[in-house]
Amino acid sequence: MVRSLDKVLLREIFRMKGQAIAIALIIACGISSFVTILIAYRGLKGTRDAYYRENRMADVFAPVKKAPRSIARDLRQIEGVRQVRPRIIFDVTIDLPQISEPCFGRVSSLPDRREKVINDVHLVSGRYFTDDGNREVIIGDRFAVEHGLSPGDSVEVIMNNRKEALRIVGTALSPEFVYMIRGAGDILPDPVHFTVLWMSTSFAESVFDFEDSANEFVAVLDPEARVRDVLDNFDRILDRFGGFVAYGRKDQLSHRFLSDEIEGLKGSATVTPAIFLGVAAFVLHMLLGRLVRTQRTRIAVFRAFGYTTRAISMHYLKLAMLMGLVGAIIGSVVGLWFARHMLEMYTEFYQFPILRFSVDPLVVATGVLVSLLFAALGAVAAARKAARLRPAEGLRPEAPGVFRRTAVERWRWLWTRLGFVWRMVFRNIVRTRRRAALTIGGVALSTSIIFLSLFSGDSMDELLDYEARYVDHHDLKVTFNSERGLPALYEICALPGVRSAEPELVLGVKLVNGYRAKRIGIFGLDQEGVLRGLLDKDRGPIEKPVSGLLLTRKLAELLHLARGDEVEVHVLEGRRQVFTATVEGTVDEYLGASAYASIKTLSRWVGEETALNSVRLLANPERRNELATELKNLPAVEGVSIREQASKVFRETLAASMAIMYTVLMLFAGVIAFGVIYNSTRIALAERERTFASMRVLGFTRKEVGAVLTNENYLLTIIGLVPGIGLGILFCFWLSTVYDTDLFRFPMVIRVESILISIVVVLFFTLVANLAIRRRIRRLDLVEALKSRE
Amino acid sequence: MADPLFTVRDVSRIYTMGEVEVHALRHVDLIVQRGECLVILGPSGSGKSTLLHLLGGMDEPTSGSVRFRDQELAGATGDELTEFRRKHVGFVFQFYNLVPSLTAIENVEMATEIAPHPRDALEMIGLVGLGERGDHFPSQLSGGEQQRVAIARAVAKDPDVLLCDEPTGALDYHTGKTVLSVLETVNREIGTTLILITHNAAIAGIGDRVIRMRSGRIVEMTENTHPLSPEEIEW
Repeated sequence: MVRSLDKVLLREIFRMKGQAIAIALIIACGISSFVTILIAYRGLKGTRDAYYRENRMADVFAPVKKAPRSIARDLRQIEGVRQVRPRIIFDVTIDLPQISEPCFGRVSSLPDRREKVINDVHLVSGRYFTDDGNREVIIGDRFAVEHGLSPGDSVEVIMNNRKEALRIVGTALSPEFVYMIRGAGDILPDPVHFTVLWMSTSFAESVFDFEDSANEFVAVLDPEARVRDVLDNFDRILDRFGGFVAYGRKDQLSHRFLSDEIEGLKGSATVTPAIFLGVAAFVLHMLLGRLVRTQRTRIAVFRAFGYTTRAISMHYLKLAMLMGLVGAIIGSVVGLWFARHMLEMYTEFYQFPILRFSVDPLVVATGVLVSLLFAALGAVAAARKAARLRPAEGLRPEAPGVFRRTAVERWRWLWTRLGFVWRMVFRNIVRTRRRAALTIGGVALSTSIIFLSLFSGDSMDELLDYEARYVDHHDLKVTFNSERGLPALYEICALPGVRSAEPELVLGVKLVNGYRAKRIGIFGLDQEGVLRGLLDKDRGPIEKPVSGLLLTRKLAELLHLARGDEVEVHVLEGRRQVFTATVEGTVDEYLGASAYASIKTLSRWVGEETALNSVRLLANPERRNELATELKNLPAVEGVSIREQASKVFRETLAASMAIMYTVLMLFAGVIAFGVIYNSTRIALAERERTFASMRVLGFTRKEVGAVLTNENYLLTIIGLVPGIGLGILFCFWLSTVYDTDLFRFPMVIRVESILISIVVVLFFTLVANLAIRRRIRRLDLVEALKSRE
Repeated sequence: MADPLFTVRDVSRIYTMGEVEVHALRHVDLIVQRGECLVILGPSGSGKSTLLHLLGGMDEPTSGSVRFRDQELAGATGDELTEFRRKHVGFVFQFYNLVPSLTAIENVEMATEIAPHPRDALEMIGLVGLGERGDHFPSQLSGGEQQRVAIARAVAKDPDVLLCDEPTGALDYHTGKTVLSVLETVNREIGTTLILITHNAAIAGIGDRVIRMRSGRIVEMTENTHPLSPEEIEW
């Protein structure tokens, strides 16, 4: 008995294959995003956890000025601490002959002989140090690849004011540098200009004059240890060695970026698919509602034959679930493929020994189940309606459509000028309000997705533009390896091509307001300086601080501080004194959370007349390369950043990753717009086939008949664009709120170009759907449609 | 006097339905004169609808020739047939087929928008006796009223020929007669050629000529020297 109904089922699916495919594709978008995100999430998280476990990623990082290695024993006594390793960390400059700009390295010491240590490296090529580890170095694998370096080659490194040629013995990766980023304030990794240099402890000790000493302690804790308490104890013990305040893994930069990404994935794993599946359920609801209406007679016949209501409802449920299943299969395959590519894309940003891609049957099974559930949800109303139909009732033809006058008709002037096509369009929209609402909703959603995808690019552009135009006016920024006096500034001024230079002092401090505290860098600025801009939220320039502090808005929020409040400043360097400063105001910036003071104030805090540890400068464009080469040979220079180059790298890296996102989002937006418009138009066509056939018989051309449907679609699209742009702007606001962290904020920027592009793209999708509908109108069988009512 | 509007020569129409061939028309010859009222009579499956569809440019013969004046319809392109229907043909369907979203007057106006020399829509609505109900939607009109609107719509284009496919088939006796009167008025007063197909033999009485069809062939042709008015016929 069920078998013949199943045959009907397959034929029906085949007959409306266009619509079924459109629905299946919307479902596929939902499931593919679900599978992609979840597999990527599990892949990334699983890989990270395994990598951390395998290489013993530290739970605690405690930098100091200089402390005896033996202190590690005291630290190990702290409750909850399982293992401690002292190490030496120094920032150095690498001189590669093939490029003019300097590269930077972070020296990190490893035991002379290979052993299982905290923050161990994963060797990719070459080997560990020999017994005589002098002048041997293991470098970051990505850096080696970028510059064509391999074991056996040598690199020149300026360490402790001396230039030394080091022999590369191996290339490696480290769990501390999954995200190869130098410091807070940077957003993107720069594996071309930055790498870690691992050296044997005895070599590092001799190079940096650190015999039996270390300047960082890393520790692994018991799983149940209270990190807060452990950190306090570390600070207590290390205080006398110039401790910079210990921090936990959650504040480790690479870990933070990686974890933010993983958490972000987890968050979007439910929202994105739910939107698509919701739309699919709605379209199914419409489609099956129409099907039950037109199949009343057939349902009645089946009922008259004695089919149970259950069998009839199951028939429609199965129809929907079959589409759900097809969608889920397509979605899973595409999703797995996407996930693979997404993980590959991640290797661009995150450096793992291997990024584990595994087909997780549980994820796929969940995806299939969820899509079946949503499909069934879309079919419930139709199934119930079919089950409730009484046989006798179904055999009578359904009453003709009742139309009413629309609100537009009140404007007689306009109405009388509208042709019959537009009159039909308006009346039909009013009559089929729910379907029109679905189309408008689909268009709006599609528009907002496109706008959102454009927004992320606009926002990045805006950020870079803002930084370049208002914040950083320098060409180069030079960082010294320690505090210097004014002579260092004069020395820089005397270099070739320098047009002007301004000193800056960056000081590591802890700001404390009651129980709220935050470790940040304070920038001491020259009162007369012009190379570093400070702006309020309306982008008006703010006076440089005199005696107090300016805080970034985010920092002020985090510490609950406002203009006029007082804040404790714990200087983490030198004599480590505590001062009280007044908040003079807030500045608006998109990167980092920092504070600003006058360079005089900061110098006083470290007990100097004028101290500086970096210089911003303007350079002659044609002598910039020459200058960079000079700078990288200055032993005291720890870092040089060329603004133009940094923003170029930033743009390029971002553009590459965003291109994929654009494509995928556009595709998704297209599927929604096309799927919804095509389906509701097909339903409209099926309902009004007779009318259209009659019009054709009366001598209307295909184009004229088609206009009734296509004009309706264009009108609904135009109506949908308005809430679509609104929704898109809301999404953007939401995104900029979600990403309002102390590392990074999305500037809220609405570009007219992006609005126009979104509109054009959505209209294009409507055009495609309309062309598909035109094809159906061309195939309209005039004779067949006129014979009789079903 | 001889002014043929349609000249049908040796027309056959074969449909393939799945694997079965259906001979809907077999070697039909027919001449339709301008201004006459021709009734095509026959049971269902006799081929009368197929013949009407061929004359109306909605279908094409498998073989033979269908000429409208000097224009050959057999082998014409879709666009040419549309143009032909637009300019020359008015069509009245068994189930009226009004556009449900347009009012009665708007349904008529719709036809006038595409015709080169349309008649006045209001006048046409008046002609079919529905001057008062022009603002009603099809769902607010009775079957007979809907059919009268359909006739007004067909006539408003000022077509050369009015093709009626069982125009009274879905109507009761009295309403059917009213509709036939309207058609008669159109034929006699405006002079539009009327071709009407029916399976109801009584209606044949109103035609100037009656052809009977069976199994795809014309089996009989009679000329009424004194056609009856719709009031006079009974069924």
